[in-house]
Amino acid sequence: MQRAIYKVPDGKLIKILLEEEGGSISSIQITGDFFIYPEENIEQLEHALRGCTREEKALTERLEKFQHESPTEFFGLDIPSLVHTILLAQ
Amino acid sequence: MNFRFLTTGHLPARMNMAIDEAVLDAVATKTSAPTLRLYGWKPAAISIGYFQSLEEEIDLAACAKSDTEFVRRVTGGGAVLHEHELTYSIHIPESAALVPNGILESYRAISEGVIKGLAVLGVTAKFVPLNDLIVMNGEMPQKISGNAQTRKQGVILQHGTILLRVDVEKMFSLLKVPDEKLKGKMIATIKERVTSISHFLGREVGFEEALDAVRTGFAQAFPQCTFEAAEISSEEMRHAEQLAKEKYGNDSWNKQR
Repeated sequence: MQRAIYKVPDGKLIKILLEEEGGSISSIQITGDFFIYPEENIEQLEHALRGCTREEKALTERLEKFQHESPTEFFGLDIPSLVHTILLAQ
Repeated sequence: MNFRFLTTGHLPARMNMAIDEAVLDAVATKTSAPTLRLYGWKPAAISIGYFQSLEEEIDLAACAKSDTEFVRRVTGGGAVLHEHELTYSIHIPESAALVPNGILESYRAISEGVIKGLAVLGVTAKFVPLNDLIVMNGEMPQKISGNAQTRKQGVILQHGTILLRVDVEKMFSLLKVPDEKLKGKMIATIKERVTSISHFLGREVGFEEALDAVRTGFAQAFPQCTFEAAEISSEEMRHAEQLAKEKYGNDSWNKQR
């Protein structure tokens, strides 16, 4: 199990808990005191990250594709800070 | 626009959150008018934000020992110890266009009701992004109110806490911190950065006094609206009791993350 905590500048705290298998994410939980609208999208967002390689470009593309397909508003975090936290996990 | 003004006294955490949801549902279906509700918490409780992990944020054993309840909110944001405070919730249909659409701007607009209410008491507060109200203690900004918002079924629900008194030591005895070694330092920092109405004014301000002030504040912030005292409907109350039992009092909701 790998973890990371990151305080987004001018934003909120992101906590990541993830497991990797063969270089890609097999499970991930994103918690913290941020806001995401609609809230229920967090689970689909976590689901969308499964199987993704832990690499900046791949993660960013996944998240952007997710946001495009399931309109989601971030408040206190954004895609770059989320990707940054995922990359920090160890 | 005509708001209902509800006061529901001091209730357990599960019921407080259940009433907010039941009222939201009723406002969404136009069964009830837009609503401003003021309330308190008994027993003391910690609420956590929708996206927080209950077990990572709260020391459940310490909560049980001090008779402090816990509940997950429908809104994001951080963990809050609700004890000596006045809590507000406001339910506004988005279609009413009473506040701006943007999240940040709508926080700012709704917070104006709290700011004007604090001003009635002699407390000069201002909104600071993302969702806090602060007062200045010399050069030091100190948080006096935290707010959280969701939008569901075409309704904006914003609720927030207005601190009457604050007990940082107790808060930290119930919350988990990422690094136990840094706990002492964190307590010292939070003590500098959080205040309460009573501490700020140097006199005890009670629930009722703050309640009257905040009601006046919302009426001043939204002069185009009325805030008519009303009772919660029996339908809302029934729905709330069901939600308290099946959702907010239930591990499957509270421990879902």
